[in-house]
Amino acid sequence: MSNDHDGSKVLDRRDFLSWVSAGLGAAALHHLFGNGLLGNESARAATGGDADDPPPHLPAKAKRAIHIFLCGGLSHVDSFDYRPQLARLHGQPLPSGEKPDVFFGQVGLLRQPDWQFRQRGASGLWVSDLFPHLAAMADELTVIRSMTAETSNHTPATFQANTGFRLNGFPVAGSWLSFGLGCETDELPAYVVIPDVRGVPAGGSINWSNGFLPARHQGVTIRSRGPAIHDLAPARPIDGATEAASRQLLAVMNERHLAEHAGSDALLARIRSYEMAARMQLAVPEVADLDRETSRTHELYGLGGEATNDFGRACLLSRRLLERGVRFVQLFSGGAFGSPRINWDGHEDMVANHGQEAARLDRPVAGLLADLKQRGLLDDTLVILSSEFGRTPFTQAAGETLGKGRDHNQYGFSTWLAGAGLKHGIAYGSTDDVGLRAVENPVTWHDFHATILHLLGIDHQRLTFYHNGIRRRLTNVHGNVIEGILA
Amino acid sequence: MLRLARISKAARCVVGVLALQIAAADADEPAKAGFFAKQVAPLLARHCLECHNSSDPKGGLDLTRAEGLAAGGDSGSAIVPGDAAASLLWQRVSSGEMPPEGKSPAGAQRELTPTEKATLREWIAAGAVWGAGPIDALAQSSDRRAGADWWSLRPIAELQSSCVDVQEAATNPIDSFVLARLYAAGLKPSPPASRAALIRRLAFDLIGLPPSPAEVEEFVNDASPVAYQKLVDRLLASPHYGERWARHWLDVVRFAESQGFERDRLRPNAWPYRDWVVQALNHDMPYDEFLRRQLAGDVLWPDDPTAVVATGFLVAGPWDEVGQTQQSEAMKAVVRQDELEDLVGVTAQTCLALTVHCARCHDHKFDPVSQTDYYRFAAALGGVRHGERKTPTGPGMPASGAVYAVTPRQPEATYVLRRGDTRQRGDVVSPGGVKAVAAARAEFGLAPDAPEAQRRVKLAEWITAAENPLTARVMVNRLWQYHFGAGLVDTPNDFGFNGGRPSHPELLDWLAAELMRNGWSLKQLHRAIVLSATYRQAAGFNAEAARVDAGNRLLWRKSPLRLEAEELRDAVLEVSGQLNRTMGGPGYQDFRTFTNNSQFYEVFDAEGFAFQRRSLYRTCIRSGTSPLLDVLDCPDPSATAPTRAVTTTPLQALALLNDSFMLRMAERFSERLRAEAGNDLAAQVDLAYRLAFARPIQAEERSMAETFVSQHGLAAFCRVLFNANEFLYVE
Repeated sequence: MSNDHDGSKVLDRRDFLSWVSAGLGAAALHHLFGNGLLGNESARAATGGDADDPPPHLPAKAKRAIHIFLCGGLSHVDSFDYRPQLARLHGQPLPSGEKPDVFFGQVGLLRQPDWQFRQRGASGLWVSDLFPHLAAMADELTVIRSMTAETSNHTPATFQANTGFRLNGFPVAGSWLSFGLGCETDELPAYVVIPDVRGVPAGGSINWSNGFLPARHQGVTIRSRGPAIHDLAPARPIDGATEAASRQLLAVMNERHLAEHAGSDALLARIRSYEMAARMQLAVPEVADLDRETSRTHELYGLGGEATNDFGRACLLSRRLLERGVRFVQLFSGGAFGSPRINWDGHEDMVANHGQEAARLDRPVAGLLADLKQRGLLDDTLVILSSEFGRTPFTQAAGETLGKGRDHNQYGFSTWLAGAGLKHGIAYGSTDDVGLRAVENPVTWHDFHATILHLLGIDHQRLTFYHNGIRRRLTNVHGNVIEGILA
Repeated sequence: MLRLARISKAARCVVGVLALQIAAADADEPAKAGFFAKQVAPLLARHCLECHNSSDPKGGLDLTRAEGLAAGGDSGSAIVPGDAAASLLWQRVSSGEMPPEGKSPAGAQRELTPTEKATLREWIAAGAVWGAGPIDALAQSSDRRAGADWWSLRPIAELQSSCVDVQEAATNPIDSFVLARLYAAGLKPSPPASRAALIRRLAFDLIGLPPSPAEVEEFVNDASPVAYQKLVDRLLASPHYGERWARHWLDVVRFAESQGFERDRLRPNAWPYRDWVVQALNHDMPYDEFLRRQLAGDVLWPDDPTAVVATGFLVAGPWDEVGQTQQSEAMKAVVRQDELEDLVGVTAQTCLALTVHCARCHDHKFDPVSQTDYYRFAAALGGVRHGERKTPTGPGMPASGAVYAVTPRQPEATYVLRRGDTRQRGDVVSPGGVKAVAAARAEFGLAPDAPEAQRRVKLAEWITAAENPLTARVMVNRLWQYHFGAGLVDTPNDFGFNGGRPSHPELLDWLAAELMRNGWSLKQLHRAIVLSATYRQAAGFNAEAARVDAGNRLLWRKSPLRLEAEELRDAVLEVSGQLNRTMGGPGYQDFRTFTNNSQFYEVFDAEGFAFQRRSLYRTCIRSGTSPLLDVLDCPDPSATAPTRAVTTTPLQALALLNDSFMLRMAERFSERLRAEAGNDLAAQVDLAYRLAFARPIQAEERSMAETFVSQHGLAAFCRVLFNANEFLYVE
């Protein structure tokens, strides 16, 4: 087994054979590399972004980022936002007597958290028992408890969390990062998406769209099982010698064509893209082969565990991608809306819903943090966990009734970050006594995005792309870096 | 930092009244008003009004009108007439605090020049006399914004091509404009392209498909002096012309056949709009009528029960069904305003290349579009709702008897919303156009509660009015872009301040005038363009010319273009002898659907003749785009795509090498070669080259090809051809 974390690209015999048996034509590619047909450039040559005012605009604290997105709406009052008053008012109406505008229009009685909150670690950060493993990593977390969104409708809210806009058609943060920063390697895409194995979120690929940015900045979905990338290998087996000869013939034909069209950068770039494709064909199966990791690592991420295996694989794959130079990995926890619930949209029964989802996610994400930390990667990697909005402190039930579920809450909710450039073990901002509204240091998605870009060395006002009359930004015309959470 | 005591509102009013009295009592008033109009108003417009305007006055200070100046702002009185030093306005400006940092576009200086400062000081010292009425910040262009006198808003110049002095007898007026600029830059055009290159170029350009070997042969050997004209006319008359050019239009109007957002439900009856565009283009429907039908066909052609199909334009975009069904009325109102912004945006950009939607929350920062203009425009479209309309069944119409089209509803009154906030209602507005564009027609003369139908009719009339200079300019620029790879204005959806400037302004106007002279015929315009020597130039590289004009803006050659995603797939089908040329009707669906509350689409490589239609007929799903087309830069169908990006990525290489569709077609291609060329290896590879590259194989290529085929088979050879640059690029 080759070393699992030194970025080695050398395939040993076992890998080699497994690849050939998968019909990938590795022999052909090795033949090409052996011939020097693919040139002698560094195998990890970085690819630049496309921005015309290229970052870094300021010192980058983080080189890469991973965003774990919880579809449906994580209840902040049950996880990271400890509101003691909420427990005291359990079963009572809102003290203010108001009926806030909520998605399903039902304002039931206040409900105490269904999980016990405790102070954790040296920092004493409050985290509930919903996430026991994550709680053990509390000293690494930077919790923002005063997030606000502009809508409590899932998809526009999700779009806004990812693009800054409520509408379809805008580039997501990952695409902006790919556009601005390019990739640390030319063997893997800059922006990788790993959907939940239970299905893609509502809106499907719109959630990783490049919008109006060039198509190369679209998120590339990599699966944590089965063929990792679409079209990575020929759809039907091709003999190794044929593959090698085909690549060679193509190279000769293109060289000949280029000679008649001297000076064409586009043709040259296309020839080079085939060389990069060959490298990707070698790199991706290697990175996606989780069997290369030790059993201790598997255990750390919860591989093999009934609830944790799926998300554990996704988290472990993410770490492997990040350490090989991928700029931005986005993991989705949760698929489609509706019944049965397969995301965090706990309208009916919080204990059943959030209990089920947290059991899938808690250990893998804690494992990821611990693993990044022990490898020193957390020093220059940013970990982000968010939902599109939070949940109401009162239940979704007819007035004067105490239900078991909670409705969407755009007025106040929590996210957390970890890693590079942050003050750790702190909570920033605050909601009101019951956790309904952000009241202290409210943070918008624009502020959130500005901060992430800032940590990655980007001035959010300078990463722009001209589209339809305006130099568009991830942060629209808003956004203030949240200075209070920066180290 | 200056700190000024807040003065009470009453005190401010006294100062204000005083100021007005001073102004009124002044004997030199006419001279001073003249000074204000000539010197001061432009200065205020340039430096101050972006923030201190009526629609959203920063710091409460509105400097567009005398009353605003007199009233002052949150920090107190702005001016002490006659005493510059005591005037807050002067203090802030002279200290350099105003205008603030970060408010100037690149290239524009922030601070006032010494001369401007002197003017301001002098004006205040002389009593700060205001001129007549409020300053119209949108009237004049400056180095920081476009006004009503912006280049694209001026009337189309009636130019005679003969006024361009070019020595050579240009065959086509277009060439005289192009040559004039080339010669001025010390450049020359390239020689004409070869016949073989020309037919491949023209075929892809006009019908989106490669020419057959027989067609290439015939054209290359046609000795007639009008061989090329005949080819142009034949291709323009082909029904495939409409398919090719409809694709461009559908990019701009972001047509798709699903709702988008959370549910993304299929719109099973949206395809008739796509067919309508194809047929309208094939029949060379006058462009003004083409627009009128899309904006208000249901109203203007009441006796034509199929006229409603064209209004699919108004509902081509995404629609947030969940947002409309939520409980909260307040949130629903926001969703509706978002929807209108999208609709106003795409309508104004498509027809006028004007970014009207940028004025939803405040006056446009760069173009002469006021916030009121935005809401007038929104009122004109305020009755547009998504839905299905009953239609007769029959050829070209859905069997269901319904099409996805506008289902108009009489709108509520439209208010200007301060900062775009639905809770902050300002004045009620009447439906109308943008005042800076064909001003006389932009006033619809409608009441705020005018019937829905009249609103869209008036909107269509204003957009297609002869005195509206944008409509024709915008469309000829689009055509030019698709023919040459770049528009004369390189931002086809934006002719405003942030957009590009025309590389050949006279040519743009000549083309626009020509379009209208020819009764808005698009085909005649295509014809003029492709018959030009400019279009017929070779695509060869010229290092010397590239040093002067690397981007080929001056058109010293015909830029080679990479096949677009749909062109590539269609060409692969055609070359393999597999293209199903069935036109129109419901699209093919290369996905499995499943519903889990929301609709999901699992795209797969569907085999069979039914799926081998042109890519235009792929049922276009917002959340279920085709990976093969996506990777080749097919745009996101939720966003208007006035130009397509052309990227080169390893994922494209992987798709072309490995995708099951590509491999299957390589097999079909090889079967075709065997069927048509027999077992003769030499004949097989020669036909392969003719089909894929529209040229015979050359002697030095032959041995390499034959050796490869004998060792690895014909299908492997065909796979290589599909990946070759010569296949992907059109010269």
